[in-house]
Amino acid sequence: MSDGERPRRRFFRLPWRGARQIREQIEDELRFHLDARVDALVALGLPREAARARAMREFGDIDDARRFLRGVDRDIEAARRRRDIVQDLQQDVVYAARQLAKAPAFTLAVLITLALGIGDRFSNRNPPVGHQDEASTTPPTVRKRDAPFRVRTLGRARADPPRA
Amino acid sequence: MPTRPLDLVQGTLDVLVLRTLLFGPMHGYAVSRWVHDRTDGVLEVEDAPLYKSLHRLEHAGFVAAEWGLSDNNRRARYYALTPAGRRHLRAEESVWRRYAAAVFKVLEPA
Repeated sequence: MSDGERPRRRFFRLPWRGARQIREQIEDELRFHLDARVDALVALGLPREAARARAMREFGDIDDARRFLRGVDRDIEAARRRRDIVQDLQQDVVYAARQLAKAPAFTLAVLITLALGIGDRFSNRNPPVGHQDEASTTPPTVRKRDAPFRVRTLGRARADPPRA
Repeated sequence: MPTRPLDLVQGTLDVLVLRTLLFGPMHGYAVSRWVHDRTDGVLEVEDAPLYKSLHRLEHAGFVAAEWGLSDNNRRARYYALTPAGRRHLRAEESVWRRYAAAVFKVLEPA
């Protein structure tokens, strides 16, 4: 349940409502209202039929209300869904950051590994394809050994002539 | 001249609903009865716009809805004011008071 404020930490959350559930809950809500009103009018001495008719008259355009409530509730549900997803993501990021902070040696090792890897990739020793210093009038040829990444294509690339 | 019930503008109904919920969580039927009894039939409030208002206020985050059991042990949807709803009510109330004061000033020139 949202309180319209900053999200509270929740240990469980209500399941998202689908279109059918929204419809059913609206019917339940309206039925509760009409039954309660009919009972009250019957208690005042009105015959049940007349009470029903009066309750409906007092309600006004119930079909219009149904349509409106369904639309609003769908929007409420969509907003809840978005909020839950963002909140999950936030929790995951916070969790990951905490875990890394708890293991500084591991974090440092990971950072160094990543830094070395990335640095090596972009250093001049292994220039990436298309960025050679030589004038690139000829198409760059990259020997398989020097290729910074092995590119695997799913299925045969169309430009490749079939090997004899 | 017979007095005709006044039509209610949407925003006014929202304020009445929020004010009613200040007494505590209520289902739609209770809100309907309270508004009806309190206004002595001067304001003709149909139930359809009232429920629209409740769901609209829920969408705005001014009320929160929850299923609960009514006095006669039936499942009913209860609405409760949220902190944002309380703030909204306070703001709207002061707007209404200023509006009413201005109208009175015109109706009763000094």
